[in-house]
Amino acid sequence: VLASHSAAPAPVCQSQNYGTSVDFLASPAEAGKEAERDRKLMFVLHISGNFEDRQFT
Amino acid sequence: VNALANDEVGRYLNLHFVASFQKVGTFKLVNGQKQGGNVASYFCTPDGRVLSAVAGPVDAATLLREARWVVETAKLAGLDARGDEARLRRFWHKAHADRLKQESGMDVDALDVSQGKSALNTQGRVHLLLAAVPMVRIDQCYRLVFEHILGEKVSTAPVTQVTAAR
Repeated sequence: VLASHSAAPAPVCQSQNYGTSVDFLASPAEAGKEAERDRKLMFVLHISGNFEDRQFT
Repeated sequence: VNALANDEVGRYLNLHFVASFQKVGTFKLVNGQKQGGNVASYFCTPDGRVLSAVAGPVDAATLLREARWVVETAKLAGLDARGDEARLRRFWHKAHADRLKQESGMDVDALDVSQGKSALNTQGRVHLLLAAVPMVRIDQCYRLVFEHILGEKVSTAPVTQVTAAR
């Protein structure tokens, strides 16, 4: 199989830590795919409020 | 959520897990004071089956201990089950049943567990749930955990801010 040198790299899921020491992906679906690919487990946090805004978490 | 700011917790979770979050409830801010709200942490397979969970806020040492228990138990489960799904579920049933017996003195394999159920603490109830339905999908158990174990309502409502009149 020949791959084009000009092909764009596969998209990488962007993680953020939201003021914690843990890298979070935006959705469990993304996390599940990445966990499967990296042979890891998945950690899912269920919260009240908005994780993105510390005032509302 | 404060336990997640701990560096050791972060290193361990980032090494062994891919993390995500979901808003499942809400709370009120009354004059800047939080009323209600809670948190549940789930340790799952990549396809969303719950291996273990922590209901409610805990300190860094507790969260790290649970994460390590899940990782090590998952390794042993894989070795024991050798790809047999039923064996894997039995393994996780026994793992949670053992935790329940050690930590709460309840024998889930006894004929009647209902007597001691009300005396269980939050984490004991989580182990009882996961001994009863090991590796349950997170979408099938999160409401029970949030509403019946933590006593919160699942809600899509945004956080409301209330300022009392003076």
